[in-house]
Amino acid sequence: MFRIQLAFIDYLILATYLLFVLGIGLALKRYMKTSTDFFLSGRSIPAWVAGLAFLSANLGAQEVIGMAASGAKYGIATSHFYWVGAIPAMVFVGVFMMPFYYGSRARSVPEYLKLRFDEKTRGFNALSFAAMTVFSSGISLYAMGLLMSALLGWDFNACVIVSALIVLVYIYAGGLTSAIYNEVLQFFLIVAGLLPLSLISLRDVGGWSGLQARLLGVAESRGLAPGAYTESWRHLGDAAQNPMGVEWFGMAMGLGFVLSFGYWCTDFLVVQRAMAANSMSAARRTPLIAAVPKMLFPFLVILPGMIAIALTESAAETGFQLPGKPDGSLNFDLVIPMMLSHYFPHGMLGLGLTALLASFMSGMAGNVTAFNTVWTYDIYQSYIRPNASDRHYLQVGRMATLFGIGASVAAAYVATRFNNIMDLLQLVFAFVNAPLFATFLLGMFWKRATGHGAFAGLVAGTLAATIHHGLSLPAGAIPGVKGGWLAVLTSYPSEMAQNFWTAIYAWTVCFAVTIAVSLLTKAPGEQTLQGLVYSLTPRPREEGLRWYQRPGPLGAIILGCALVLNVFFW
Amino acid sequence: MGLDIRMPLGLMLALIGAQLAVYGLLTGGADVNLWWGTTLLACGAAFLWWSRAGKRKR
Repeated sequence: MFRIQLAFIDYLILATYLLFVLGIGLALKRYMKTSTDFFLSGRSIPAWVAGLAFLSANLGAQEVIGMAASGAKYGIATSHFYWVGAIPAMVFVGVFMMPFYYGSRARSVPEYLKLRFDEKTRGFNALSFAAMTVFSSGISLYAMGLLMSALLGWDFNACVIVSALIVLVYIYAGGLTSAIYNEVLQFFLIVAGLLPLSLISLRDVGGWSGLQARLLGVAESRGLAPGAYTESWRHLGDAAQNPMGVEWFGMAMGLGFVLSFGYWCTDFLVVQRAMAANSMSAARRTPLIAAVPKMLFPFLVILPGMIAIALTESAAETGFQLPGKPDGSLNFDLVIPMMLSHYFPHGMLGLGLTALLASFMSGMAGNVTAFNTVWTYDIYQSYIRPNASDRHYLQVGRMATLFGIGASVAAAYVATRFNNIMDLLQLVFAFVNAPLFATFLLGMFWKRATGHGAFAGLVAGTLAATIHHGLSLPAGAIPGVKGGWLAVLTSYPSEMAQNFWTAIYAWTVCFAVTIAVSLLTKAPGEQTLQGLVYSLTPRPREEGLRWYQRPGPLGAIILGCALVLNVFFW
Repeated sequence: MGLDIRMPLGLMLALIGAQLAVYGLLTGGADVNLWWGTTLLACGAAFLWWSRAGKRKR
């Protein structure tokens, strides 16, 4: 097994980072006086800070490690997860949805559902979301422990416990503010650790044209179209011609519309950062500010993956070889660590590993702060103990932080013993999430949508996702957790294509059922919907804002840039 | 809220940058540690300056 040896300077850099992370948490402790301070940062965060935190909370270790792995597997087509699967949705949530999230003064996404629809819709969303955040932070804890223990020879238990403790200390002390501030720190560290890797490795392979020439050979040896790794759209006409095994419609609708809008526009993990902003216009700018670095992240994470696969193809000449897995395939998850140790001397190596740790912590902290808020406001205050003092809820929030992190650690250990259970749970959450965006879209833009309609739509959409998964199978898989457990009616060229189509079916069924049931039930009173639905809400005032502070022009510029990038790498 | 994030952020970047740059100098001159360390040091200094400028305005 491949091992990285660290030197004193590497530990020094890691220690410096940890010192600041903990210091910020402890310095913020005295400002946490009310539950609003703890869960919403007292709605006092400036736009640029909220924006970077919005991005960083999404930037877990799975994002960095996983997107680099996808870069190695699929090449530049991975950029669809950014330029199609993130940017448009981020612009949409900032320009069109934030007025309702921020303007309604809802303290969480489930609470918005309660205000707009009814109690059962909120309960359904709050419970599934709370469970999901705990499990996903557990899974990332597990992945991080596994990676660090394999790479550095550290003890798995120590990795899991120590990193969970650090996140616990800084959130317990400083709440959401602490998470947000640290996410800003983590964002800069991730860039500081990964940007020089991209620059040095790209120069090493002879720039973009040199990389293109090398990847030509990789595509040919795998029987794909010659430009399959360096051209993002040209080969999407036929699923067999590109390494993802997806055709353009499934990609654009499944990823670009349903999955991406479902995540960026409804996931409280990210939306919470915008809700903490200090004004309506700052809240609307939050996702837009986040979209700018998000657009450039492919150059930090996908590029090293592409370079790693190109180098591995001619390993004899380059001396770089991605390690294999026991089953003979390449271990793509090691792209970033392998590249770091190949190109960086001690010092930079420590910074690179600190960046990985930082990305892991930002992702986990995002989950934990979203969990403690939803638990305290949407579950505890709503169903267990309403009308307690604010001080009591602040205390409950701290306890929920403790409990959430404890449960994440437990989930991490469950994952070490029963990997299949984790796969199964992730699948269940994917089914619950798939239809969500239809509910929010109708809730915000159609005043006739009712609570019964929303709830029926969500349940029907989740069922549709489950049934579609049970009836379809990716090529080469055996029926079971991968699908086809009812009967195999259709087969998809890849698992990704199956996921995209599951999402499309779930969204469509939820959309249709919500409309049908809403029309059959009693319309909600218009006076109860003010500030919650587009047609009954006054437009946010924009006088006195300069053009670059207005969400509309900003969003248009960002969409234009994303379009240029898509065309450039067509 | 209370604490200005630009201050600790600038300090951390400057400190890590300085560590890298000094280590680069000690271990043999113009390598990635030196030039990237110097860049981070400059970024950190910029945040510290921005933080002070922000305070004076208020």
